[in-house]
Amino acid sequence: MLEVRGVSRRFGGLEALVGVDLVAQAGQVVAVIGPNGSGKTTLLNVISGVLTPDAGTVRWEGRDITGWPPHRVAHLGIGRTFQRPRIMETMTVRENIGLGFLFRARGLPVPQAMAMAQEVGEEVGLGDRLDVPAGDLTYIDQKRLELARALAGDPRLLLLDEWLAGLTEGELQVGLELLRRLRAQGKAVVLVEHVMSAVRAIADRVVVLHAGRKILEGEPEEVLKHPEVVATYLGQDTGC
Amino acid sequence: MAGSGTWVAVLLDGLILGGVYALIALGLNLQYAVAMILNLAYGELVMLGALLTYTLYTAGRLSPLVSLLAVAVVAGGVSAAAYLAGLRRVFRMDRREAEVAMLLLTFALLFLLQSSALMLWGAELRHYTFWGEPVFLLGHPFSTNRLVAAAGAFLLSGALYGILRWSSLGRVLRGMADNPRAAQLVGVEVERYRLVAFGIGGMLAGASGTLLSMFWSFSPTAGIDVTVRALVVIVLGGIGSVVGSLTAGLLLGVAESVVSAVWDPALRLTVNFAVLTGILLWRPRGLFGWRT
Amino acid sequence: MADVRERGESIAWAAYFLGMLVLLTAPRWGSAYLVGFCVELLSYMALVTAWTMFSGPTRYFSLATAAFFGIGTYVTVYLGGRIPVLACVAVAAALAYLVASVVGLATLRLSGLYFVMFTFGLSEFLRQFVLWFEGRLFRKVGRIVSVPFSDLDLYYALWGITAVLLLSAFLLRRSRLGYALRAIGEDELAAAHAGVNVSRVKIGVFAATASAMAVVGAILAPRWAYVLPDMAFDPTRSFQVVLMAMLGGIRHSYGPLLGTIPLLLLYEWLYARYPYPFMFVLGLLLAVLILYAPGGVSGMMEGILQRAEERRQEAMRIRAEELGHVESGEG
Repeated sequence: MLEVRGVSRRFGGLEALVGVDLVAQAGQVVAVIGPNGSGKTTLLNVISGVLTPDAGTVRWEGRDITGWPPHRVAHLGIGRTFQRPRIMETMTVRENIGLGFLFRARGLPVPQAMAMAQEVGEEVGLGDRLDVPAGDLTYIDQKRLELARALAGDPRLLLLDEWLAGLTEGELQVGLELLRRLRAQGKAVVLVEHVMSAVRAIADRVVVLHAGRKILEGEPEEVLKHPEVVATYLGQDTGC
Repeated sequence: MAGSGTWVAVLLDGLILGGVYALIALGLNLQYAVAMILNLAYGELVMLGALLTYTLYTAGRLSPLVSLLAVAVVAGGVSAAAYLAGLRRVFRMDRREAEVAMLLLTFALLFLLQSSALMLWGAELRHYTFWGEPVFLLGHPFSTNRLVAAAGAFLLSGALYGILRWSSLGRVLRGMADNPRAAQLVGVEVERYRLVAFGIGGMLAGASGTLLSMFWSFSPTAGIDVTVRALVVIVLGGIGSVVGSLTAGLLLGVAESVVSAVWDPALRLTVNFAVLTGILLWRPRGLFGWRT
Repeated sequence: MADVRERGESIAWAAYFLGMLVLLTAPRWGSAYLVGFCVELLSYMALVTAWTMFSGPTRYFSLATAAFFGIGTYVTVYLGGRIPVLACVAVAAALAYLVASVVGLATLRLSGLYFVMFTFGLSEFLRQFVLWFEGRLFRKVGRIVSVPFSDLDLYYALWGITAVLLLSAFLLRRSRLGYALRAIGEDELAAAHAGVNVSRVKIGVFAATASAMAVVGAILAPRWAYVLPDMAFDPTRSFQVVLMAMLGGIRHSYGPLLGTIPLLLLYEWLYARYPYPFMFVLGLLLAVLILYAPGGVSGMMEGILQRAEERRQEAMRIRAEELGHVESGEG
């Protein structure tokens, strides 16, 4: 279980996060929504260890991991994707996924890691392109690759930053199906999203951020109908 | 050590030296903060300035104060030429290649400039005497040339500060240093102003070479030493900050002066390096800067 | 496409290992001049390989080769009369490891620019420090080197470290550490999130390669009759190593070594008579390389081979189409 309590972080004069709380249980999808600049990515950065909060704590499976560097957080079973897919362009698809197997807490030897990478690659639909340099993939495939790498680390918590953005309707359904499967496997997912239809379809709980503060939390149906949320999001719904 | 009198002398000497260091660093700072080029060959431009001044003085009987402008223009010209001939291509490369390319190109420039200087002047250490008579400051003797050099450094630094703060050119340059992408969006011809900034930085290098040559010995191989010092000043004072460079330059000058008096003049660069290591371990953004 | 590259790699590495075997036997049949050239070649092969192992994949370009080489040189010069040279080598390796670790700790957690700045100044700083040290403690500027180490022993020791480095570089490519380094070079943040301890890998590998460079310096020291800080910490050595690597091309593991022989030949041809023009040519060469052929020789060769392969496959495709038409009774 992920427990974020009272996390605050500022950059110079800008208060990016102010006293944010968040809880994510195993087998649960928590969506984090809010207008641009509301602190969603900063929140993920604090959880995954890219940033240290000025105040507050992050606890995972009972352990205080506040301020732990990303590789230690990863070793505890937390995987992450980024707004812009961060993949190793000159390495092949197989090698990219293999990184997740090589460097997890109990890393596999190279031949095994690459073999397992093949399996995962086939699962996410990249099986026919395993030896292609990752830089040659389409945007969508790069997103899939990034998730595959994160999954290779055998995470129990996934932090996804706008992973469903820019997808066609068909691709969106495939993506949602994948997330449902992960949830069924008992993984916790924190999903930062703009795509409201996806949030409606899959989130168990929704947290709304605005200017660094949590202004609302609850079931998707109530939250998305709430006047404040509608007002904040007027014109920002990128459901297409 | 003797009484407080000597400490005053050491302090003043440090401030004098520091003033010149500050000016040297300003040019490098300008090239890095605005033109986004960390010029590893910067010290070579300073040495070029010193050597040109030397030749104009010994062969042409031209006072350094008179040749300062000409030397600055030549140094600026060399910088501009280097920019146009190759450095500007760096900005068309993708980010990772660009960083590497910029450093290697300026590294190459270092060798091009140093070898040219060696071919023209040879490797010996040179110096000349100009206004060497002592002047008394607070009861301590300082050679006139040092004081004039320091005064020149403060004047030029002040002029640069003024230009950056109050002229329209300065506004553009500062905007580019603050936020290059925004500057581009607003319609600034970023390419042209980078060239200008790089050229002005080169001019400052040449001018500080002239001032330096008035009281220090110099040679084509002493450039790296100067570049390292300038780097320490801008890391300490913060990249992009004129006030930072001034403060850091003065601090460094005083630190060197103290070490030189208490221990050994040959340990000056060690002081630089100790300061650099300390800053990087403790506070990499420097005292005033905002960019790492 | 990938197998073209892999074939090229295998051929290159096989050639290198064969070359090393030839070099091993050189003292038996070579002239004194040739053996001297082989010593230079081996030492630069070692330095370039060590440099590339870290700076190649991570793109943190170290300009400190001369600094670590010089440390090795001076360790032997100081201690070589009293303890066996191989012990000096161990001391040099340890000392360089320590210095590099401090440098790494100070700079590798920040952007690559600080690393370059620091390594750039390191040789100069050490040169001045040793100069001061010699002057203050020993009232000397240069030293006469008298270390008991036969030419043959020196050659084999040098061959040994070069062989170790080449083998390490070869094994690194497909090793876990190799992948870590490449991942760091591509995207440090992503690498960290995949579980790579980025700082430890960077500092550790940098320090290890620095040790290797010091070992080379320590082994070569007895060759010099007289040594000055200027010579041991000569910045041109750092430059030459970088230039050789870039000339050969750092995009492929076998690339950098290709640059060693051409530049050494250039050195032999120019340096003795025209040292300053030699420096100028080096600078010009690097500039031209960066601007027009950043992949170096190996990059260009790879490009040519790849285009040839593409043309071949295109031709095959066209023929297959034509055959298809004929068979179905068209055309």
